[in-house]
Parts: sequence; C-alpha cells; structure tokens
Amino acid sequence: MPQHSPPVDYIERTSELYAGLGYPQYDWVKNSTCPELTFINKPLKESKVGLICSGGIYRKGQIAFHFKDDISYRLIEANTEITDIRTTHFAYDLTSSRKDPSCVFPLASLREFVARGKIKSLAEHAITFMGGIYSHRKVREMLAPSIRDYFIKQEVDLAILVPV
Amino acid sequence: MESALDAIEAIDEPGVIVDPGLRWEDGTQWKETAMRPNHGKETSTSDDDRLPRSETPVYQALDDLTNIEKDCQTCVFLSES
Repeated sequence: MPQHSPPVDYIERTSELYAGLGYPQYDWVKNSTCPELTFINKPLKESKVGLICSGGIYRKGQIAFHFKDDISYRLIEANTEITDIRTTHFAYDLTSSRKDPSCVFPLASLREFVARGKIKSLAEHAITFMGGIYSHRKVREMLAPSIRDYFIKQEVDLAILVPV
Repeated sequence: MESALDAIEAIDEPGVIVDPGLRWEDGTQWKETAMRPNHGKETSTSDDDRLPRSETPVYQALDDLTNIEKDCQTCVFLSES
C-alpha cells in the first residue's frame, strides 16, 4: 500500500501561480473558530439523512451548471437512476466521475445503508452544486442558508457533505 | 461512507479527523506536480486541462441539452435581494 502523504498545499500553490501571472492576492477564507459541534439527538438507524455534494452533479433533464461563480443548486430525487446522473465541473478531472458518479455522489451507497437499516431514510432530494465559487460571501449568505432551510423543511436529522 | 456515518456517532469534540486508511492504488506521486507551473507553458500548470469559466451551462452530453425539462422545478437559482 502506498505511504501516506499530506494533502496538496493548494492555497500556497494557487497563490504562487496567480501571483506569477500578475493577479492580485485572492482573499482566502479565514475561519478563526470551529463551528459548534452539534450532536444528533437520535441513533443513526432512526435518522433521516440528507446528502450535499459540490461536484457539479446534475440529473439528466436538469439544466447543467456553468463555470463562472454558479451559486444555483439542483434537487436530485433520492430514487434517481445512477445512469441518469451527470457531472460537470471546471476544476477536476471528470473521467472517473463520469464512469462512476458514485465517487463524487454516493447516493447508491446511502440507499444501501437504508436497505441494511443503518440509517432510517433519505431526504426526498439530494442537493448538488458547483464548488469552486470565488465569492465566499455568496456561499455564506445565500447558498448555504438556502440548503440548510431546504433540509429543515424536509425534516432531515443530519446531512453528509461530499466536497470535491 | 460507512466510516463517515460511524464518525457522526463516535466523534465527541470539534476538530477530530478520522483516517479511514484508504489510499489510491497508483500512489501519491501526482501530488508532486499538481498545480505547479508547466515548464515551457508559463500560463498553465503541469496538469491543467480546465476549461475557461463562462456563464453558459456545460453539459456532459449533447443529448442532455436537448432533453431539458420545461420550467425545471428541481433547478434552484438564487438571486441577491
């Protein structure tokens, strides 16, 4: 098995690259505190689970994402055929995700967990959006609250976020 | 995914990271060149094949473009108030 190595220091590398091209320094998000840890108030096997994925996933029939600060999102029915799942994204190699969307959108795995009784149920829709949004203000003030409100409306007990 | 779900019940303080022990079969050499300048092509990285950013939707397949649902109810667009 290959040896473990630390993650790519992408902030430093991106800064170096764009500074070399003459762009001003990007205002990276700096979080000075951890979010409050909230415990679930019931066992997993009694919980309704939501899925949030940032890999530019859409379902056949839906409008695809664009690559310029797209802050829209898609609601993907929990019973969607995986063969109808599509991926589009400006910042990662789509070869694997188009061959097997489960590597960025693990809906099939979650359905299996429901069948095994590990979790009780899934939210009626998974939520997907295009990551790599330059404006963290729009993510913080518009996108994230909208997703939160949607899952609250669906009475979701917990949500799994799958970033790309 | 199973490890992630188990972590929800197991983690009891902020900042904890659970390593599931999974590794890419091909190793981690790709990290050495990721996002590093491509020699001879100063305006791109060594493995940069990204597309330009535009406000036109980019479809995986041409068929997807011709089969869009009318008034897509599951496509949510946000606007600043």
